[in-house]
Amino acid sequence: MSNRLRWAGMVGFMALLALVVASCAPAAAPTPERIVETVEVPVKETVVIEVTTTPAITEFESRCTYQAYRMGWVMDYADANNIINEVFSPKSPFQYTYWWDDTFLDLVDQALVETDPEARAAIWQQAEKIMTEDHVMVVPIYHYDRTGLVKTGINYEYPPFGQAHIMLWSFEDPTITTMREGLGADPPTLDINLATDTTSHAVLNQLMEGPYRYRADGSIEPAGAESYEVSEDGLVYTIHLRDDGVWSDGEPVTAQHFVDGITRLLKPETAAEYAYVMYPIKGAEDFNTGVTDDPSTLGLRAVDDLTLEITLKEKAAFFDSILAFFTMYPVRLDVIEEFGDAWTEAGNFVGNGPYILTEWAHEDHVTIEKNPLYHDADQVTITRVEFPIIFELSTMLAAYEAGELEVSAYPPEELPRILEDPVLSQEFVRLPYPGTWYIGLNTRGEHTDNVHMRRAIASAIDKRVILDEVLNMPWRLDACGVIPPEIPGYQGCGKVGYTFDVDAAKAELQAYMDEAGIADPDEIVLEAWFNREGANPDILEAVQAMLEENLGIHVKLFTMEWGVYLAILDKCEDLGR
Amino acid sequence: MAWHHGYYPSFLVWSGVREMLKFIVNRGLWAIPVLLMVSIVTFTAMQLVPGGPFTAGAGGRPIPSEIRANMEAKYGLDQPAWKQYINYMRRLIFHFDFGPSYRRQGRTINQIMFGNDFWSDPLHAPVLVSAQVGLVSLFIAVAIGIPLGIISALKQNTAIDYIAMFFSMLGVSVPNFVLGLILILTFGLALGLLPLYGWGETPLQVIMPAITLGTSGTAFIARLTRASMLETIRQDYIRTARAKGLRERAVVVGHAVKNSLIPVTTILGPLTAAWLTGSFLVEWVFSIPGIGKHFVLSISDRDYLLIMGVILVYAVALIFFNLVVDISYAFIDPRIRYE
Repeated sequence: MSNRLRWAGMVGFMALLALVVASCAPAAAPTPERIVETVEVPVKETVVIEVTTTPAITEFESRCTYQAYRMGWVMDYADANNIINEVFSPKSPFQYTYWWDDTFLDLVDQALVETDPEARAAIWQQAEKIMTEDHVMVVPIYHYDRTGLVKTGINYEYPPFGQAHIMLWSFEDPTITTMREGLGADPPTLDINLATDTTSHAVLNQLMEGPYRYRADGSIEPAGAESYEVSEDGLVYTIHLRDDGVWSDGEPVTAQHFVDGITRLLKPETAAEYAYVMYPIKGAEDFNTGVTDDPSTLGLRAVDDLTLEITLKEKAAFFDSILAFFTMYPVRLDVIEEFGDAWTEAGNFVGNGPYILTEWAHEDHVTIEKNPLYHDADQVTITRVEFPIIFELSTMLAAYEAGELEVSAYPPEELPRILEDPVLSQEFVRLPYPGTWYIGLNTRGEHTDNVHMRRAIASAIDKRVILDEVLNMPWRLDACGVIPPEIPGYQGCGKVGYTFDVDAAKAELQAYMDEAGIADPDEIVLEAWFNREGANPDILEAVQAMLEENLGIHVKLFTMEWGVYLAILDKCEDLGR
Repeated sequence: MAWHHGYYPSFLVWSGVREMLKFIVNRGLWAIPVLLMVSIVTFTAMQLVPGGPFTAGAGGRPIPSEIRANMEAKYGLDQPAWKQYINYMRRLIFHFDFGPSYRRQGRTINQIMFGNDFWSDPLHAPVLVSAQVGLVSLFIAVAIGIPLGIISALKQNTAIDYIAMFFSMLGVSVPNFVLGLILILTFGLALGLLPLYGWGETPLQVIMPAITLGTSGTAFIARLTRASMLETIRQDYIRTARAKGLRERAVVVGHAVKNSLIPVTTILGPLTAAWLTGSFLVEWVFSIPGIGKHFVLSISDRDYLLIMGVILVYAVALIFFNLVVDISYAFIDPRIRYE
């Protein structure tokens, strides 16, 4: 009897506790008001809201104490707009430096409407100089490249953006038609509008085809389309689709499918992460942020079955490159409607690309096979691709060495052995993958709010040592600007930014100390924040050592998990704007 | 005296069963507040960790706030926490629906844990894949560990004892991760005897994962059994049995072993629960499609409902196996009765 009473009391207490604790939890979650504030303001045009209430600034100053933070960016398409503007614009949500420059913003506006590629590149170069020399709010460290292992006997091609198109690959031995590529994770989703990560696209790239595709040199070539024209004022893109484009279930590909695809991408309910890439399209931003729910306000039109018309809200010279980006994929709304959330599973998925999804055993493997209906099916020589899912890179490398895989990644600590191995070193792939690994500087932070201090930091880091000795990747390029070498506008060390120069660094530091009235560099303490994944701890420790040795200042390192890192930086941004 | 042989006089059997049933029902009822508590604590902890499922995109870059607002609205994450919790519990209790995954969009937690078609293909359900690996590992650990411990205790301080204890020390000290990779590189790559990774193609694929997982357990169980045996054979009633003239074998098997198994049985409860719900490291190294990986990955993914799902599964497993252990006490040592 007493036991039952005890039990009832326990349950009642639990329920009470549930209500009490759960109602306390919202205090830890972001308050709805802040989200509403930011929804009203479009992403690229986020205006610096004047924070007149003192408590907000105090909270920023007391919590957001970083002077340096680490980030990286891999380019999406072949125009410097992707990094100079989309990442580093003072209005961009992707940078946490709190810098501002009106000339820079004017240059960006000019570049967006400049159609002559050389003139545009020159404008980006000017903007880059303002960033890296006048303001020095970013210290680029190195440029990325793509590395991996591919067995000899395979003719492969990797575009600089996105994933490979296996239909362009072939075995030298024509009797081999099956290829096995290791995937490091189960693709989070194969939904055309939702997939954003490299694993999902390693598969999706084979199943789908946009109007254009990237080739190894970064140029675009016709894929689902034959040609396109741009109107005089640069606002209307007319894309002519090929007449033999067909879905894997036999339906012909029409312009309406492309309209459906982009519309679905922009629908707020879809909650697509990359919707912002299509914001240059007229009405896109309003539609995506819920200002209007009428898709007819979008600048998308299927003139006829084979002609797609896209109207931009203003001239955007880089939009040509977006034609090969995965946000342009067409979509079959009827298939999605029929299968619902399960439409991406094998057997249900319908794509217009060279391969069909034949098997998807979650967390185990993905298999795709050649689509016989594809318009250039006779050019596809690899008829079957198996993607075993292998999480641990050491296991994947072992499988590759055992001959069970033709394409594989590798764990970073194995790199020295791979480069020395007579077989593996020949199979090691090293290709362009434009992007920049950099350290951002907080222009509102203590000490780093002075440009001399920032210049001192920029000149005191020996990037070559980081590449040669910390990463063991001597072929990689050290970075002084943010535009990567493969992108028009690249300037390189010596032409932009600051190179490693201890004397210059010390001089700049002295200039800062004179201005700030600091007698001893010992008194300067900087905080460097970074996420702990990958080789970041090693690199940041090297940076810390260099700054301490070359400048005599103190650097404290703070590391945290990626999700926490971004959450805190975002919160600082909310507070500091 | 009949008690010591584990025989219940027939007239007492019936009341014994009734006692056991009352015991089980009692435990079952207590499971409810325990699970409720687990769900509250987990839910609160998740809310308190900075960063949500849509702070960092799957693509590895930050998500602009407008987009994030869309994504959070899609899954009801913009609602107050207590409301989200109530919705979750209502869906779970009335529909056995663990909710959608935020990282693997389009898939539900039920699909991730129980597979796309559980009833037609149960053996491939991730929950049961982990259970299969766990069962084989458990079998190895028990079948090797207990006899090893018994023999070591009976032959204490001889060469057998030292060797056995050395290897069990090794087993406990070598991390699963290292052992797994060593096995892959030796038996898989160098010797080509066993499949390197994976699940579901051949039964051979269970060998290395089970050895990896089972080794630390074997070592632990061996040491525990040995210590327990050593203590038991010094007990008075063992000396009595010997004095009564029972053969040594009857003394050992009939009395000493059974009673020394109690500590081992005790740890077997949580051990079984932990192994049957999948070991993260073993599933990671060997690419086994179970739920073990999700215990860790779902946290960095901030896939809230997957975290809740796997933790509740683990809690249920713990409650269940602890109950099994408690019931088995009665058969091992009837001195322990159901209160």
